[in-house]
Amino acid sequence: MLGAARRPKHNVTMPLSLSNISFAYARRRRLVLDDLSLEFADGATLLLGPNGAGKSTILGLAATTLRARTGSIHIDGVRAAGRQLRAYRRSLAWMPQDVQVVPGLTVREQVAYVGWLKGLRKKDAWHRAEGALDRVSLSALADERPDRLSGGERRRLGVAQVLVHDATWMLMDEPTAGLDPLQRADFHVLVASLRHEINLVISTHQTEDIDSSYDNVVVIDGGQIRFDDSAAAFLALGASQASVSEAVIDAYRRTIAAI
Amino acid sequence: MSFDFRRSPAIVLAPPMVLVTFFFLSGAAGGPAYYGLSQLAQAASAVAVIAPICAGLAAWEGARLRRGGVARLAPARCEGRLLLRALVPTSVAAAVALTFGFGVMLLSGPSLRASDSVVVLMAAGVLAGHAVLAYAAGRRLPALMAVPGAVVLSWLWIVYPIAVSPLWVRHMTGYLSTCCDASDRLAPAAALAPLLLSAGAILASAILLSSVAPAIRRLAAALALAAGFAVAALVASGLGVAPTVARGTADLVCRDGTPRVCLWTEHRGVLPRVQATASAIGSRLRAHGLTTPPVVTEARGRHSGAWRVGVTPTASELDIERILLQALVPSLPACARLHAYPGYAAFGAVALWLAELAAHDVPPYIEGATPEDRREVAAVGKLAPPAQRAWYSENLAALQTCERPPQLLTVKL
Repeated sequence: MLGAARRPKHNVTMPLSLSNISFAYARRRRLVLDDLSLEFADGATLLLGPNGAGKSTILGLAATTLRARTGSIHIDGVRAAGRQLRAYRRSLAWMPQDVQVVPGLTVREQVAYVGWLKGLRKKDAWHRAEGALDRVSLSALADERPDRLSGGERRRLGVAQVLVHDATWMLMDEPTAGLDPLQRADFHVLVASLRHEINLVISTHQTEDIDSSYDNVVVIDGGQIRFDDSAAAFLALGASQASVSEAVIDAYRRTIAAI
Repeated sequence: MSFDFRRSPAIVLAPPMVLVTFFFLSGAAGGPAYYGLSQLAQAASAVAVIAPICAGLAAWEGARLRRGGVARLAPARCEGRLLLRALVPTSVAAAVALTFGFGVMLLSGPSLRASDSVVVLMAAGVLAGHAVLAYAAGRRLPALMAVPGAVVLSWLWIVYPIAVSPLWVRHMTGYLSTCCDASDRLAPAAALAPLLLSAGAILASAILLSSVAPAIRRLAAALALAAGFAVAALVASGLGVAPTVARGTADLVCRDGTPRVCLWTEHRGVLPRVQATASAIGSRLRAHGLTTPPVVTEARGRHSGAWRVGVTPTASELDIERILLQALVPSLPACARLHAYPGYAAFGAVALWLAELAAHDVPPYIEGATPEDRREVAAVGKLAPPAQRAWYSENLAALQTCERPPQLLTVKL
């Protein structure tokens, strides 16, 4: 573990914890994660790391779309397995890297369907889909087919899908990938507005995604945690740099280079 | 939410499904229109066209969810709920087509019994098995493979077993085209076997949809399907060509007299005429020193020595007389299917002789009677009554076995 000061965890109320996780993809012997333990604190966490570092694997495991060989995952004591799996999934919203949609559905129907998948009653899902679309400024496109949306609009659709139900944690895998700078800026505004309502974990390999919207930073590489502390502590690693962006890159280099 | 229906091809395909069901049932062989069980079974045989369409629709719905990455959204609902919701439009379309089929076949208003509902249950079970398995295939395979595969395999499973031996295999599919005459009931095994197979298919689907490792779930699903097939085969293996058993005598309506006549309840309208005609035939035969059985019945089986007939509610006097006379001639013995049956040479002559002796008007056509038979009967007529009776007894015995040759006057064997 790198980092000048361990982030205080006294403020954690609904921790998302991964304990002693080992994982390998099917038909591959090499472990992507080996006895990894990690606890995400409340607030907005940026999961940072180069391509192939294991970010998507960690989020996939936390989202229960991947299954660990060993170890356990909990949200506030609710285990992501067995009889508690459905309760766990209800408390977690998940946006994979590519936002897929059920063919034939409109934008509104897709969001409502995901709400239903997450345990909402049909009527409630339909009602809340309107609010979620409004939140991501997609109401005007509610009756459009999702395949007609732009890359940025499709990301917003993905966000609407995770906003539609009552989750305590929201996981987003590379949500800014493929977005132009303007769309990325809009996304950060959205994250800033969400961070006080829901706990967020957002993965990225783009250091420019780090801004004041985030409370915590976790850096991962080669399946190992390289840094796990507050965003301020992370930026302090590059404090000698002239600008914030340079400080981020410098801190990132330091954490990766310290392997 | 309305989009369950609005976005489903099942709604588009429901009217063609009904149309196909109508055409299929129009061309069906058909059983007695007044016998409710027969009509229900004919209607249920429409699963041959409804099941493949349902399977295709279900596979499509499954493939839609697959393309939509539903499993990757970590749903908090179980796979069963996802399946039920996805298959609601398909189920409605199937129910409409099946109900239409039952409606068409029951238009004539035959009487139904509570136990006949097993046919409806079986048809629904067969459709559920096809649809659920196809849905699971759709969830695991691309639509381009799952949809045509489901349609073709579903169709083949229903129609192909009719062409294969052993015969009982056909009774595992739920295709009841050969059920039922008025003297038949649906064999419990023929209703149970398709349901067991469907249960195996649904279990296999549940395993396919589970999150178990792919290799294990494929193997387990194949085992579940094989187990369902094995149990269904065990149940169906006692059945023959038709999926039927003899109808119980509790359904008979009897009228005392000489002879006592017992007909199926659907035929009660012709009971007095059958008794009058049977009585007249009996009187004429007794006048020639012959006896007739004391009971005329439509029941198969247990009544040995009974005068076994099969009438229809619309039978004319001539029909009834012909049916009663024909029933006095023994039917082919079981050995005739496999061995030489010399007694058959006497079949037409015996039938013709009985008709000339006992009919009010000798019908112009007697089943099996040839010009040679007419010459034989003419020759017999010239004999003294005791010799005629001896000729009749001798040839009656020959008709009931494969070992005994007939004793004919004009025909050299």
